[in-house]
Amino acid sequence: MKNIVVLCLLFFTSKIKAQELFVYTEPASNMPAKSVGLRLSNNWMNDDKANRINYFLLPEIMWGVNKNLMLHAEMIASDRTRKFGYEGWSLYGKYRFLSKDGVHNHFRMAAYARVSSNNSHIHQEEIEINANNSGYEVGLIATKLINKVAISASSSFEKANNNANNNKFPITHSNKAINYTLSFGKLMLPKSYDNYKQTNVNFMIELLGQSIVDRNKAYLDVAPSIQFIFNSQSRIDIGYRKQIAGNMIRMSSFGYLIRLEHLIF
Amino acid sequence: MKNIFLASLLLIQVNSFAQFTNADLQASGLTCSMCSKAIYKSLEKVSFVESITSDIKTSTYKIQFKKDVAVNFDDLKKAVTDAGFSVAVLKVNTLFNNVKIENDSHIQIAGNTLHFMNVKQQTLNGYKMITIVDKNFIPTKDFKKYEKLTTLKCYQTGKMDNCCSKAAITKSERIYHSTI
Repeated sequence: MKNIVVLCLLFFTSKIKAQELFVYTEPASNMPAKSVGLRLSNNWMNDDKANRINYFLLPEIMWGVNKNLMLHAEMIASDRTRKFGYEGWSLYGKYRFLSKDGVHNHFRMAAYARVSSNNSHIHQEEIEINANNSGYEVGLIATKLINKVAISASSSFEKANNNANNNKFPITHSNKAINYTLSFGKLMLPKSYDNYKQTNVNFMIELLGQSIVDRNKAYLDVAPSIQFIFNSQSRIDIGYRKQIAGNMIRMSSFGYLIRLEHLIF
Repeated sequence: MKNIFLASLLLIQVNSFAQFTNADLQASGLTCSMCSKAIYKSLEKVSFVESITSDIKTSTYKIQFKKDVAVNFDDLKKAVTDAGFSVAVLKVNTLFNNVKIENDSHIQIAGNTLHFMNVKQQTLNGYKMITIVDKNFIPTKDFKKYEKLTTLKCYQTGKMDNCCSKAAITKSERIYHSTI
């Protein structure tokens, strides 16, 4: 915990440029109107119970409906049953309702909602509708870009339902959770922008927390990641997520991510 | 060649006229090159834009207009806001020949009505940069400054109104407030 505080302080005090294309969270900003984004997330998550690594593949299509509204549709597949196959889907929508722009700065706020279906067996107390649970999530995001530092925070309410394939949500668990995130981003390269073909290298660090409603259960993860942007249009994100505090039964307390993304303007 | 053309125009043309040739647009709300490229791509799709060169560091776009194609400043603003950002500055390079301007006067340039604010009475000749000062073409705090300079309702709405009655007007027609 002390190390994280030191790391965060270093972020604020060093001379930095920021990026808000966060890896584990979404910023309040939207993609351009009428553009389409393709995303392929590969997650290697430790299965805490079985002590093995489960692989998750999440292909996703993103659409900027207009300047304020964007929609994502995602498919979830994994090999957690020892056989790789389809596991579910997820729909995500984000509406930017506040935008205050200045030269090289902005403050934005957005509301979002996600609804998902998943067919996997549930044994964990953690609620994660973007991989493990059927259910929905609604939340708010605020992103501030000031003096070339980007900070984003979000909070959401998440509710799990019974999973598909008759995989019931355990009646002994609470099916409601509050999530909160805090993200920082730093542009490492290039030192100076000359053209759109320069490769950008960004470093991110994100804190991801959850509290289960009506239970004294919570976790806090730290997720550092590095991001490469090619031709100002394609992204490769490499991330690592690890629990630093927590007392709940989870599917996974650490994992790796490699994500490919391409934006079609 | 361009100068000869210009000189010929000046000799032949007796009446006053003006035309837009290019613009410098600065966008706000971004730092990254991916965001800058989104605006570039969006501006590129505007029908009267011939070419664009961008300065990523300052978020500034030098926009060349197509010859003899009507220019619409709202289309430029929409391209920027559709990309997810805002216009901070729009300066339009305009070729004037014997055009008289004064405060709260209207002039027609290539199908657009311009309402001049905060200017001295003068006759314009040659290339001049005019700045559009309407809402959403400048930062909010700058808009508030200009707001104090006028009581005219048309500045609030960007549409012609009774306040513009001295000129031949069509009520609710788009009017761009500008200065030099």
